[in-house]
Amino acid sequence: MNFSSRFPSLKQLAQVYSVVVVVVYGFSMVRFFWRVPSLINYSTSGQIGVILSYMLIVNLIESLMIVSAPVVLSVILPGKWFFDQFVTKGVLLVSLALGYAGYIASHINTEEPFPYPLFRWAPLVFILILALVFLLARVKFVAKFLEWASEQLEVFLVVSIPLTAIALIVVLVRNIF
Amino acid sequence: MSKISRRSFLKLVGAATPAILFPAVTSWAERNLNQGDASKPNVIVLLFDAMSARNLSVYGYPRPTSTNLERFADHATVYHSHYSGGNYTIPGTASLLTGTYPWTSRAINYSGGVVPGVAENNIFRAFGEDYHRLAFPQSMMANFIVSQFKADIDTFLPAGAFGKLDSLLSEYFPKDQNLALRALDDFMFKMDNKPASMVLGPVQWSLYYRDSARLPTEGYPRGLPHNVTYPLYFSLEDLFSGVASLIPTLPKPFFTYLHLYPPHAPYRASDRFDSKFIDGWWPEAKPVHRLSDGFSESKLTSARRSYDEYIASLDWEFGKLLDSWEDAGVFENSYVIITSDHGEIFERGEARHTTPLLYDPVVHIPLLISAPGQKTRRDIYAPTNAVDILPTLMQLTGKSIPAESEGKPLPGFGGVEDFERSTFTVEAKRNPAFAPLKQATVAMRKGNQKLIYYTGYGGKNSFEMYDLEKDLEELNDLYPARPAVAKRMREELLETLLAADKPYTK
Repeated sequence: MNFSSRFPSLKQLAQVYSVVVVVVYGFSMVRFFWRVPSLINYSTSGQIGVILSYMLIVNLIESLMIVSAPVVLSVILPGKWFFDQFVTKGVLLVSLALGYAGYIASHINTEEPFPYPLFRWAPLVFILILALVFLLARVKFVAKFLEWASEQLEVFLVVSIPLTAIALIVVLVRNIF
Repeated sequence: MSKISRRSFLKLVGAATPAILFPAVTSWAERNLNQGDASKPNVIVLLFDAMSARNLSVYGYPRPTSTNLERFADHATVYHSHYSGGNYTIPGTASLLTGTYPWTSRAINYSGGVVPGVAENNIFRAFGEDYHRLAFPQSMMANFIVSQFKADIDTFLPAGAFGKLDSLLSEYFPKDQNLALRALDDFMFKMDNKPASMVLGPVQWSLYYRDSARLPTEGYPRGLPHNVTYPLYFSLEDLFSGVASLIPTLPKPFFTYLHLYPPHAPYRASDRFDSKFIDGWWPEAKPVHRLSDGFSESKLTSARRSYDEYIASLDWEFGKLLDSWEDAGVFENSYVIITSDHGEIFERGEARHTTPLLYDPVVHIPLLISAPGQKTRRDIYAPTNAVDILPTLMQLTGKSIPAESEGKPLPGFGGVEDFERSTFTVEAKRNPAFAPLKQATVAMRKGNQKLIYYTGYGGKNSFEMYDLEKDLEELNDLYPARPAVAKRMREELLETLLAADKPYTK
């Protein structure tokens, strides 16, 4: 079996990854900017930059973990199942999965018990997500829209990749020297 | 692959020997050549977070909460009017470790820190390299302050040392612990807020909750002691036995700053003391303050009882620590200092310490110092403050006192009892650190008088004044009744505040 032939192209990968980046980085960024007014009360701009750097590194790890899911599915499943519609199915998969992760994250607080039921339902939810991915990908306008939208979102990579690279250097330098 | 010749082997051995031995030799040299003068006294600062002097029997509290502290007091100097620099851990700890008031260190906000100019004069640096300097900030907020001084600390024990469970990520970034703490443990993965990390946050939470639910809670009917806002579980037994075993292993002379989290909320008394103080005793009811949370008397009384029981549990373990240190002869060549960073209040509708109210339960903290070989008790009644600890220790160990220090050597240890001196406690957590203090409470103690100033809470700025010799419960506001004294104290407080704000006034 030739796995490498089912590995998505860089262009396809970038389209799916841009969706992940927008959601994952955006989620943290909103909270970061919500925090900035208090951070500037007691931190220098340099310290705030370092905090942002750590945040971006966590986001990088998260986004790479998430984007690896459609890549793995594309490689291990027969080409017709996933690879042939990598962008559509990949975007659907990561969007639905991140929606679920966001739903769990929004239900966490110390005032209430930890939402374990949301985790317990996870296997079923993922089966449902996979079913939705295969069903919705058949709808032509959905597929078209997702391909178009993910292409538009690629612009965020132009910002996120250099920023993350700088963040990586900042974190590495501070922890090596 | 060709065989290694005898000559090549010998070359390899010759080259490898210094490489193997060199680290061992240098580490031996570091251990022995840099070791300080063991005849110098050791210094142990043992700080209990959120321990109010007003709830300790050693200071006359009716419940027997601190029988072992009383035993310690038998061979110590007991300060009866000792005040914290702030009303929660950030300003309280910063005051102790820098010898400056919060309006100087600017450590006033939650998760805040000490400004660089002040941080350079921290207590660890002041002790110098001839002392082995160890810090154990078990409280996470103390970690914010102490990790700023990490370059001056020889051994930095993470908050999870002696704990049952922790999942602090900053521990994996020892070279950048302060900002990793702020970025990861206090922001991306903070436990008292929705996680800022969308994917790994919930995963970290679920693993931590799963593991904490599996922890044995034997001996703690209300659950294991833990930190609410950061992932950290511990038992008092483990904590104190860890501290007990730590001290004899340190290279002498040493300075240790042990900032223990209990009796900070949540109050988790051991089974020996749980429900022990259902004794029918009710403290004097006080009027609800306009800036309080408005808790009912029954809720306040219940919270106070839990707090007292937790203190008694802690004191029990402290007793064992005392025994072990006595057996090990620690008191023969060490200054042992017991104190706190701030108190806790259960009156006037308020049940916490992060409050704008600076009544004595929040700011009156214990201070007991046992000098090497001290056999008798001594009592000091003059007002003192946490900012006095640094200059006192510098004086006792023959070091120079940083010029920026706002404290004075304590009476009994090089200083004199000064009843005319003014000391301050500052609460300004909602105020930007690098701006004049617009929303703040400042308490000034001078002799028996205490003036409290509230500004920026809506309505007019207000003052209260109490005579603590005649009115320990702070029930009789003398501000309107003694205008001359009130005016003199008000002017001094406002002038001092104005001077502190000056660097931040445009």
